[in-house]
Amino acid sequence: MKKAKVLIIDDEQELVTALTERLNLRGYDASGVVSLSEAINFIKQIPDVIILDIGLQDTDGLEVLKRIKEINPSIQVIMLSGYGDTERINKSLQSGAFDYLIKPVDIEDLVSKIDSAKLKKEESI
Amino acid sequence: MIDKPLVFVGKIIADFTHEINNHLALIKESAGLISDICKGKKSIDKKEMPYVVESLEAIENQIQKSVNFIGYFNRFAHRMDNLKSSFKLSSTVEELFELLKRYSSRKKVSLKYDIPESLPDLENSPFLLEFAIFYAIDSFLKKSKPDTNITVTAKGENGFVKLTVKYEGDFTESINQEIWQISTIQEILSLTNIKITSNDKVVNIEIPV
Repeated sequence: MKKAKVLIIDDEQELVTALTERLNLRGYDASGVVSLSEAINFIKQIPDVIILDIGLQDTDGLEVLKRIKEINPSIQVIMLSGYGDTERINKSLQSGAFDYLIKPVDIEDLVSKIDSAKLKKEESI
Repeated sequence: MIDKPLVFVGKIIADFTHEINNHLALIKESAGLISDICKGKKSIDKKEMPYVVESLEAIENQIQKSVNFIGYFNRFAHRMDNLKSSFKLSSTVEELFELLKRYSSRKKVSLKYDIPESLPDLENSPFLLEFAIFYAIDSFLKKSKPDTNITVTAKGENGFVKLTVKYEGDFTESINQEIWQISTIQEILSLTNIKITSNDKVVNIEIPV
């Protein structure tokens, strides 16, 4: 199976760089952005999976999730949360997020969720 | 009544742990990247070297940021040791602002303060004073519009330090959370001789010197 095309959206530039590189080293086609405006261009290139920080400082992660789903509902979104914010996590799942992970994430858990998300995207097309 | 100071402490702890989680996430990913690059190799490729150097720098910077942030949090925790102690107003406000930075930036509100270093040290409850300032900031943030300001200033006058918390901007019409009654805050502050009054966009706090 071809590995997923992944977009990471988080406002911590260094975190985005490290996570993107780690996924690329594992054979994924990963890119990272730190703002919604940059993200919109990448979303148009239709990634399979988006890793989205729920607590973006300049934009609400839940609003970004809704925008992504409006642009292309087949894109699978994995939310990253810095804390066990049950209410926001539940809201994101209700708004169509594939799953969520609590920061700091385990890279193998992330990779496993990305693979499952890509399978779901392929099934949905 | 006791629930209000607990809500305040809970808010500070929640934002602190959230922020530290973010710091740890960055440290973990940066260390993980170095590990991924070095795994099973005797030397590092030239093209991979910048990633290693950048990751090490990111780890170092992040640890320093965490140390500073933990320092503020530790100081805050010790504010509760005694109901009365001697403290500098400027360091109290600085610490509270650092701990509330995430909350205010999420609301896109800029927090500013101007506290003269020349003000005398205060003999009072630093915790309840921070609680009073938090009340002012929180009541503004709950109805603030983005790209607005909250400013804290202070001056000495007639045996008091008068602290003013001012909101600059318009309020939103939709408020989803409860805004505490000033009378409840006044009742809590009656444990001290700190006085608080408020009107639309200004909260005044008076602390005897």
